[in-house]
Amino acid sequence: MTYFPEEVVEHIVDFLGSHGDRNAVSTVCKAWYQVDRLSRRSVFVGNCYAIRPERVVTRFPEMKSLTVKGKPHFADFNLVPYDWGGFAQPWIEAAARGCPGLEELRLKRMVITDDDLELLSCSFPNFKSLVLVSCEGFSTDGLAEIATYCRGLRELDLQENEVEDHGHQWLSCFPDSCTSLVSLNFACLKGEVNASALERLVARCPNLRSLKLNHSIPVESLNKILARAPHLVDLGTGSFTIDNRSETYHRLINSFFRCKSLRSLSGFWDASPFCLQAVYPICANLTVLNLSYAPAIQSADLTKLVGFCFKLQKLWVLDCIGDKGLVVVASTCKELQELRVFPSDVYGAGITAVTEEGLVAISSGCPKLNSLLYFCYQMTNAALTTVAKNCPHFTRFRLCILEPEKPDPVTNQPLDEGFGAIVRSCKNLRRLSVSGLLTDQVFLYIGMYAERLEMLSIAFAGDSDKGMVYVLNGCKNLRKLEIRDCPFGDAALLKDVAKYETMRSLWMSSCDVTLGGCKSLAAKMPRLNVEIINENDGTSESKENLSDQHKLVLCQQFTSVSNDIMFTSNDPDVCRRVRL
Amino acid sequence: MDRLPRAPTAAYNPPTPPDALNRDLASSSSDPTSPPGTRVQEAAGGRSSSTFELAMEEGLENRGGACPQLLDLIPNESDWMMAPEASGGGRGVGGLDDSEDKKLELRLGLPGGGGGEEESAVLSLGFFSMASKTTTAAAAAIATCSGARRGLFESAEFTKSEGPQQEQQRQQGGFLQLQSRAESGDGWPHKAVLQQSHAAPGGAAAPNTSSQTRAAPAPVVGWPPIRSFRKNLSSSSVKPSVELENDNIEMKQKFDNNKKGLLVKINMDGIPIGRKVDLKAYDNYEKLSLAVKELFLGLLAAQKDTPQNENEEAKQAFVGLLDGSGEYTLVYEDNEGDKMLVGGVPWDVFVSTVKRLRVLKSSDLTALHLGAAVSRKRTATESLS
Repeated sequence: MTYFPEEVVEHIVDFLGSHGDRNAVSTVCKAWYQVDRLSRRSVFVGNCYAIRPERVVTRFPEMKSLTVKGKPHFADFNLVPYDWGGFAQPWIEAAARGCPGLEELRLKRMVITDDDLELLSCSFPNFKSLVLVSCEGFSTDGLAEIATYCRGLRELDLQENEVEDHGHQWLSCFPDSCTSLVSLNFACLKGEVNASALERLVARCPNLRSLKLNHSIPVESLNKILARAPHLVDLGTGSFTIDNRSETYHRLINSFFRCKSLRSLSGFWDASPFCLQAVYPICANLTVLNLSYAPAIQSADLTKLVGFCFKLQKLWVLDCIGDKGLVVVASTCKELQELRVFPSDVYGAGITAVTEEGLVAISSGCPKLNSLLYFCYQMTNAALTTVAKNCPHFTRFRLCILEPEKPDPVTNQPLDEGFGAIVRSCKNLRRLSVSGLLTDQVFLYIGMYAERLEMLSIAFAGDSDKGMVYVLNGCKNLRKLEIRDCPFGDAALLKDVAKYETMRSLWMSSCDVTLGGCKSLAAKMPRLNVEIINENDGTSESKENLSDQHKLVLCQQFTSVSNDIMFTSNDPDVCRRVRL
Repeated sequence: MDRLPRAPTAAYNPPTPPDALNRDLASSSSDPTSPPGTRVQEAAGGRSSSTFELAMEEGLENRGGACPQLLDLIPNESDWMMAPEASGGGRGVGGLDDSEDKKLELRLGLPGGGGGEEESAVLSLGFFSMASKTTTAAAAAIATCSGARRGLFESAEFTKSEGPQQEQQRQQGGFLQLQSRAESGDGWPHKAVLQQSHAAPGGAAAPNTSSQTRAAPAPVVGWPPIRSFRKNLSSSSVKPSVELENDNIEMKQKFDNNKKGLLVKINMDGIPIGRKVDLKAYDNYEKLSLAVKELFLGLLAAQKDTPQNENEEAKQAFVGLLDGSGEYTLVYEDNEGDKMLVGGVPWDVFVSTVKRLRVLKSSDLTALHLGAAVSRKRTATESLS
């Protein structure tokens, strides 16, 4: 081969954005492996147990940004016991030893403690950005460490974490010399935050562009903050309860009016309907609107608000917007790309306000729609077929019919044909969640047509092993498969074991897989990490009350969500944990 | 060798999905004389059960010898039943006599009617015999082939109405649940199905649920697939008082709470593992205090690694939980995120505002924390008025 200077290769490789591409480059030859390894700045670990932290740090010594994902997706829905793992500690420790130049850490669904945060704050002098999504295990004390010791911090983004409240002092720990903040998001904090310290912080950070408050920040504070930071692009309001027609309210309207750069709005904790009027001045500029934390706002007010947002690209709402509201969205928001409709009345036996009609309206009015998460009580094949025809650009399509195994109410048929239409039409579909009454047929369709599919979520669906086999055989790009409560057993699991080495993860719970099947799989594929979660939920009632081992196991099978099986495909340097 | 009568294979059918059964019951009024199999088969749309049947038959053939052993397990239920309840007030169902026992076993699982006890017997024994070997997963898998179906499996076919005691049994585990549910009342299949269809859309609630999440629930665990904080949004959002009177807020919250079992997490200082407690099971602070003691006594004793007679010491730890006089004090976090002493407000108000509980060492209680909470409440009330 002609001599090709490594500097040139490096230069070229630097243009490669995606991790997949860089991974591919590194497999070409030893020289290219070295080039990639020494020049990679951003490292993505999709499964924290797939590879040892030390190995990552050794391989990429110039790493500046590290992203690690921990628990499986179904942990969001309490299907994974708390002590399952996903600990950030080994990663932070390894990075502290091997990559002191680290600037950014992004963790998702991991357990990170205050001690970890303390270590983090002291180990990386150039640390700039901490993003924690759906994490837990830490408190506001840990945040205080970050605030105190991370000089030059630019981003502290806490999204939907479980944070223990140990007081409001943490915000005051940002030193007066801290002027570098660009993004601050503490919306998920449950406790009080020192509003005046926040106002001072905002005042001294001229580069602040994204600020998301929690419910404890009152509107008076919001006014002051907006006055200090009119260049905000992304705002999550605090508590949005205001007295009718008070001065505060008028000032709020003015504040918003001055925020010409504001493009994204969220929060609206405890929002009452008329408060939304304060937002009208900026609706025309909004591209992102998240009203999904405001259950008190009903359809009429939502509709009115959205009616002004004709540049909207991303909308998250509760289903109280209703089909009628969605019709208004469809006629107003022609730029809409992402829509999420969450259920507002989860516990009631009541009627949700959105049906298939709303979805059809959206699909016909918003041709750019490519990402959907839609909770509803019913869906018809006809509607899905129409949606598929109207919106062939879906990359993410998640439909959750709240009642498991519910058929098409008009025809009483399973929804196989509807979802079949979706996968046939949407050639770029990367993520799919199915629901309602479904037979093996839908999986045949998915296997046949969903060529680009990377993530599939299945619940209460299918008739037999064939369903799962269709999917494993057909979806060449499948990376993540999560299944719960389906009649797939060992035969399906073991049909094509080599497939799992091309995937990141498989989750099966409450299916028909047996312990023997899993052991067989582990034996056949020693490089796979096969785990069985024997859920005890940490509440060891059964351990306390039952001394007989035999009974313990038996009891657990009935009480727990059954043996959960999750395994990961991995690198040669694998940490194998088999937990039984 | 005792072998139990084998049901003809055709008679076995997998538990139906609740909706199928629901439709079925709705369309044809319950017909106890028709063989359970056929109706279920139709409703389920010919759901393939080959895996099931194979496994079942295997179990029956190979494990015939295990059956007597298995039967031994079941009478031991008296141990199970007598086991202390996590939530106070549970009583063992020790009063079961042998014929009841038999009825209980036989009653397990076949949806579609009270008839066909033979098949049920085979079915249940098959399950247990499989479980008695190491194929525990199989039992789990078969028995719990779907959350919704499992819910139906537990709740179906017991034709006595469920008393309040029985509900509390449920948390002891699915197995016990099945036992105790046999004492349930009349009209049960309908009730079960109705509950199921209630539960299914609701996802996490059934009108009468008082069991902890660990017990196989009639509401389906982890369904609908939304984050927990979203589930609590509607019930815990505080409506501004300009629009609602305080009474209405309380009432709405109470109503919302009544629709679901009120499970709150409880942690105790020094014990890494938390518990959950169902506040619906109590009606006053004394009972709660007792329950807390029940929950943590074992763990605390284990923690201290003490011999038997020092359990007394552990028990002492729980004296004076409510009045601040003891070694530990019970506090809670309310819906505004404030930490409050338990016992300060009427029980109903407490139940409607509590979000989680903690058992703190009394020495750690700082006036600061609680004082801050008090003053914030004051300002909050002021700003609302």
